[in-house]
Amino acid sequence: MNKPILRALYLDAYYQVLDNKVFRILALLVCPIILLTFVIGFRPEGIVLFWGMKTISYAEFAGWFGQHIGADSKDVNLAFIQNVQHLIVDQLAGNVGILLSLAATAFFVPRMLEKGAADVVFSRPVGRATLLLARYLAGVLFVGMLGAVLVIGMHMGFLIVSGASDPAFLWSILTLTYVFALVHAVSTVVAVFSRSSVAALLTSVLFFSFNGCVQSKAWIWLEWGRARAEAARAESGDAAPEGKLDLDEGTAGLFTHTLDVLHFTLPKTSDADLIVVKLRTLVSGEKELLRDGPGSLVLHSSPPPYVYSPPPGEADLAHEPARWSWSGAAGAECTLTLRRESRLVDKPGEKPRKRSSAEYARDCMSALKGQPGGDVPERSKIQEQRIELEFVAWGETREARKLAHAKAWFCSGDWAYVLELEGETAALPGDFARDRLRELSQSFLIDRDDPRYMDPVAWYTHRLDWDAPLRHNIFFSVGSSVLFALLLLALAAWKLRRIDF
Amino acid sequence: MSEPTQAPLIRARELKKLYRKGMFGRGGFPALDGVSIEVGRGSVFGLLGPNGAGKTTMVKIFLGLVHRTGGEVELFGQDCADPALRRRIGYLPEAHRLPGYLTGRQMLRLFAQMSGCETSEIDDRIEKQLAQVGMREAAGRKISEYSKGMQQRIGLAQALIHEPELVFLDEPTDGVDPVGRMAIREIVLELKHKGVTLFLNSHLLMEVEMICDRVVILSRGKILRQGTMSELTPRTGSVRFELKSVPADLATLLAGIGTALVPQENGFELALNDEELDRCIDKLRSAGVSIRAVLPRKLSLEESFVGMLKGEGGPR
Repeated sequence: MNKPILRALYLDAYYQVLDNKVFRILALLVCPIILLTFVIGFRPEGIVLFWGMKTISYAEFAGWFGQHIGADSKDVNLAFIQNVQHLIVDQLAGNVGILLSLAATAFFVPRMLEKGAADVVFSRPVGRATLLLARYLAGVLFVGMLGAVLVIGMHMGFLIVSGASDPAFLWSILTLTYVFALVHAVSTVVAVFSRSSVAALLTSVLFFSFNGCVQSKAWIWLEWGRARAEAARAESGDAAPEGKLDLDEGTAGLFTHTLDVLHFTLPKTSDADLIVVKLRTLVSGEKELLRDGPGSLVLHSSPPPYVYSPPPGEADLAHEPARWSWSGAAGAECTLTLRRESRLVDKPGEKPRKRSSAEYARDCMSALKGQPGGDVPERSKIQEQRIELEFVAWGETREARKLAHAKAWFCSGDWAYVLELEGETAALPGDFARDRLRELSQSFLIDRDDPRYMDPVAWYTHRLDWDAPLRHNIFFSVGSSVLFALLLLALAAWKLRRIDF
Repeated sequence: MSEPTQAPLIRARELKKLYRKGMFGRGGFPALDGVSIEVGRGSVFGLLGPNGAGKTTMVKIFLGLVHRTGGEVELFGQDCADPALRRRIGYLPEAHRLPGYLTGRQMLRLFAQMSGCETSEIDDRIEKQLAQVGMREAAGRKISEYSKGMQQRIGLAQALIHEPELVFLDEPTDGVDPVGRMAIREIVLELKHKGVTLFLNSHLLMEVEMICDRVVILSRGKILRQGTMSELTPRTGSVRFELKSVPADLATLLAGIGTALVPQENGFELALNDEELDRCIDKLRSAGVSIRAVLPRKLSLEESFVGMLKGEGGPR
């Protein structure tokens, strides 16, 4: 095909998009969102309204919603920008925007196939498949243009007024367009077979919703459940077949296998956001204060007023423990150390066994009992956060000073992390230790491929990778999704070739 | 005017089209049933027939818009399925719908580019075509705002924008007012003079009669009759005499000459052969009757067409 024909098809698509009323409405809706990024700035000192007319501190803002912000202000500023970008682009535009775009573009193909219109277009020296592809691309262009306006507009707004914006945010243009392109293929094939805008619209909207449920909810949860069960079995030494869950058998198996088939055949639209997260990390890198490789423990920042003393970066906590100091009101202060040790117990003739954090706590209690000079030790748990801690706290009075001690344990794979506290306080040692341990451990993250430490989406995000096995491989996700769209377009082209106008 | 050359531009042999019905394609009706035609280069070819005769189907098969069930079709000596051939073809469909989101000028540019016109020539061609169809002033308006007549004119312009060698016009004057109709007819005649081969599909028989060199009459998917215009509009055998004044004893004067005398205002009509025509003129002259005109009466295309259909059983 020569250049003028390609240019003609592009111009046709462009004019069709610009003439579209829904496009104009969506473009108008996008403008106020962009405008807001030019009048509200997320600066390190706080939220700045109308270029300095009023400044609201992040602590005050978070307080309105009953929240507490403890991280340093520079990170808060960036976190706010990232969250707003994620909310507007990934959530609002990625769901509502795509549904509206499907509604706006559903008539592109049926209108071309209407009697009278088809005669003029298909009597030209251009193949039917090419014309169909041009109409399909017109729809993709529609969303690409809107997405570009929204994302670039917001990016510029944040850069100019807030002074910062993650360049990786620009990947969202591609994500929006990619997801729409996949669903628009469904709309196109239905449009060719039915020649009805209503049928194309309803089918594509239903497909988008159904596919979203399958890919982002059901299948990820199923995989996460399988992985958890597998991890638990591996831990207990049960030699069940890999990846098998009770749900994979019997009647429930029918459901789970159906989910598997649906996942592998349908386009993985919900992977797009996760892939962008990966790309953002790939481009901008991830800031870590501490990473202990063997146990996959990661700390992005210490909560104030905890002060981390060793140099940041890669650490080996088995040989060099991490240290924090904390100072509070009325002379209260403490130090905390974190070290790693193996929790494997070797018994001759038996498979190595892993000690649990509860066993550590039990043993500690036993060791402390009967020790002279100490208060009665107190054993407790901190369960309400990502990492579950078993801890033992006890007090001691030495030279008229009330000292508090605590030891806490949490496990990661073959490793146990031991967090030790030693300090001075007028409060009860148990309460003091609980508060400090909770505050500090909230910042810990076990960044390992283990579903027991992560929620389903976080685990799946972690699993999904460029070099992961097929079912969690990004290239497979993108490749199979694109193949799905191409097959639908090929089917549409095949049908179109057979139509008598 | 250029003379039609002998090599046929369109050659259809035993062309068949069966429109199937139902999910499994059983049944259906034959739109074309073994039609064979040849259209010479530079000629103006008329396709006539009642509604449902298969005229539009035939044109659409030539353009690759409809798939034939059987037979062969060659355009420019090649199989008509090749899309590249359509660079040399212009088409104005019946009841066409042009993209309403474009202005007339944008639409012409689009179709010129789609037809493979050179970019450097497009602007000139657009202005020329707009002037030819009288749409220069309205060319900046969106097509969705055009009246039916304007849409027909801009439709004709899109069919001609790439200067095709073969033009299919399906009801080109449909919905156009008399002035516009005359303008379109003039454009068609100009194309004919330029040697463009025209394939005209129209219900307006007078139009066909005025323009076409050769006509095919289709009915129920078959050729009912085809031939040149003179073959399809033969003499009836009647002759109309226009006289200065009609004598009162006309019947007595012409007794024994010809048959079916029909007196008319300023003359009469009489069925007679050549020898009787001479005798009739002699009689009138000897009686001092002044003859203004002697007109052998031919069938009009409409009369011929209706007569053929009636004889065939009428339209479906």
